[in-house]
Amino acid sequence: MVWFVSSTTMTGKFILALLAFFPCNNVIALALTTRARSAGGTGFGAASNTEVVVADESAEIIALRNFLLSNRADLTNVQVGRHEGHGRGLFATKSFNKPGKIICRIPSDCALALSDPAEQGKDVPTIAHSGANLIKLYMKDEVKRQQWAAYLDTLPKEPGSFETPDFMDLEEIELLEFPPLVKSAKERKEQIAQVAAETGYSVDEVQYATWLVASRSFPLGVAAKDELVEEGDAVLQNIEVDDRGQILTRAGRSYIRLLLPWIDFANHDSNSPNAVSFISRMFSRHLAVLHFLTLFLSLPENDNH
Amino acid sequence: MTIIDPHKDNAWFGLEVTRPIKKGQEIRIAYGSGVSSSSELLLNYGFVPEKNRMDSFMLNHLRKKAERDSEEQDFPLTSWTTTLEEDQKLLEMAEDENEDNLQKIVSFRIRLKESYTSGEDNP
Repeated sequence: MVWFVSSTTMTGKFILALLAFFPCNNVIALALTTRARSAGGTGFGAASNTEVVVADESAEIIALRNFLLSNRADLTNVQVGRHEGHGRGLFATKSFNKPGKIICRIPSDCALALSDPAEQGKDVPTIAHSGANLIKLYMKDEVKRQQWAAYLDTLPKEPGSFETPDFMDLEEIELLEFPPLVKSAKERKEQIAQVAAETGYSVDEVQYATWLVASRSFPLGVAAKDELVEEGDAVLQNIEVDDRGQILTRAGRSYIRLLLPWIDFANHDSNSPNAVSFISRMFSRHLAVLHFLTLFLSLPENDNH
Repeated sequence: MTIIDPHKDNAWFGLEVTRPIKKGQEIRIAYGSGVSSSSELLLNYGFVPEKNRMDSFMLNHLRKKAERDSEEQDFPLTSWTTTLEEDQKLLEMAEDENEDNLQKIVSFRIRLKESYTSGEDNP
């Protein structure tokens, strides 16, 4: 299946009209009313006006979908697609007219926690430690590796064009010339080296796992819709910027990191996102953290995985 | 030990609509805190967005903080070694040479310089 994604509604309508005459071909034309790559691409070069997005029906995506569906996930209205040249994304298979509608959801026991609650956060003082936990708790643990194979198998094997400064050498980092970022990037590299030395994992292993965690995990607490959606721009009134130039929200000061299968296929848009990740409303932030800590402890007894 | 049972208590993670989405449209979220500067996006996600209104917000905040603390000499944007125009030429060269890291580095510098000089989309 191939989706033609057009940046103009007119072009999309034209393709849809063509399809009306050729209903048997295996092509779905889809109108895209926002920029084709929006702000989520690499930011290099000009985005094409019309882009071909191929539905990802690979064995690993089908396996993950089946795994999640067997665990009560609701993925009815989304499809994983592959952008021409720059990775996967999530696409709506129906229109959503009103904010607040749920696009898709996975049960919380399909999330992978990246800290050990018994350590009360002491095991993840840096993001490199979360990376080491990903290795220890899921990749190197034979039972968990098998339990979570459907998800772990979908993770990218290398960053490709999405390498973070962790993969740059120190001279390249200096060329960034923005002191807050230069400082953070250097510290991140030092943390990776330190964690590798502490754990016995190779620097490459920790670097890769740290990249996965940094680029794919969701910080529990930050994504609460009450602050980031309902208040809209009013949320900016409650934001502070620390000395490193990192923007802090009220919820952003303390969190645990989670990997959320399927949801982590969603790409980024800085200025006009059309969706937000959420945790089910019944939980306060405190309860949600408590839930995941206790859930984490209960995972080995969970028959679903 | 399970205090809250996810099966009984209907606990979910998911994606929720914030703007109307048409069938076939890509679903996009704001990574990280939802208000991430390009510095954070590059550090954690490895890309420089084409536009990011949070950059001018961050830069203005840092400038005001430096002024308030009488640390103008430490304001991050005083240490650029190239102009915006020079970076734009560098980016063209990096693209011609397929120098991925250099493209990313220079794109980041351009992004911040454009945000600071124009104050674009200043929230």
